Amino acid sequence: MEKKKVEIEKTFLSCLRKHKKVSLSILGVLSGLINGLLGAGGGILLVRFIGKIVGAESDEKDVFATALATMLPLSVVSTFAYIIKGSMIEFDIAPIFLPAVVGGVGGALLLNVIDTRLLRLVFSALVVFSGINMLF
Amino acid sequence: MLDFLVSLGVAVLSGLGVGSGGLLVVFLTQFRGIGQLVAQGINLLFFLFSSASSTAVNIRIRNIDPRVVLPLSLGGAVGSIIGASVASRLPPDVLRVGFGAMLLLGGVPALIKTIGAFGKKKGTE
Repeated sequence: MEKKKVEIEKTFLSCLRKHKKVSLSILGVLSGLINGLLGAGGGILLVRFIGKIVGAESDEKDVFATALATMLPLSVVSTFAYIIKGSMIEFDIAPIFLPAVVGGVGGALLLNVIDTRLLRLVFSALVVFSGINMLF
Repeated sequence: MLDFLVSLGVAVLSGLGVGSGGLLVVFLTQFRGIGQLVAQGINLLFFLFSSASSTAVNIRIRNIDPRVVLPLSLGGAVGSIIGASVASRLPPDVLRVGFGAMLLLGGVPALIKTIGAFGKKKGTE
């Protein structure tokens, strides 16, 4: 049973990799959907599956960076949607701007030097946290 | 001060690419008494700033393949628009609980595995 599962997975993965552009587009759509529907979670999908589609040659840290780069346009769209729906209530952006930019730069620099195992640990911990968050 | 530190922490986590797990929203709603909707709006804009600055750095120091980002982003934009427009018509709790459960089903074993990876190196387990 386990062997069959691995076989199916292998075939599926090789099919995904043969049609990279299509697979990536579909992954993108799914990520965007989750993000649009739930407001979060798209990034997790991206981190999990970009590597599987692109293949083992890609550096794990690059996968995180790529997922993040993809989340940027997604966030722009989500923000617009939020504003159009009238859900974006006015608030002062000054207090959040500086830590967001400083932290963002810091995080990217940290990504470059962090131990990959620690990175995976932090990611898994946050996935679990998100999951618990969504359940309650 | 706490706000600044929390925001900074969340931005660093986002910058790593691991996301914030909704930490900012939790902080704003539970510890600052801000309404869910407003908190989500703040979170969105916050993430916009932090991901933009992170990506500006990552483009220079990491290997981001535009041939990968492009289909992902285009698909993502389409998905976001569809998701956002359909969101109001679907029962949010079902989706949320379903996805949350999926995250835990995948996340908990992964978490245990990653903790184990540290244990192995130090030989404490």
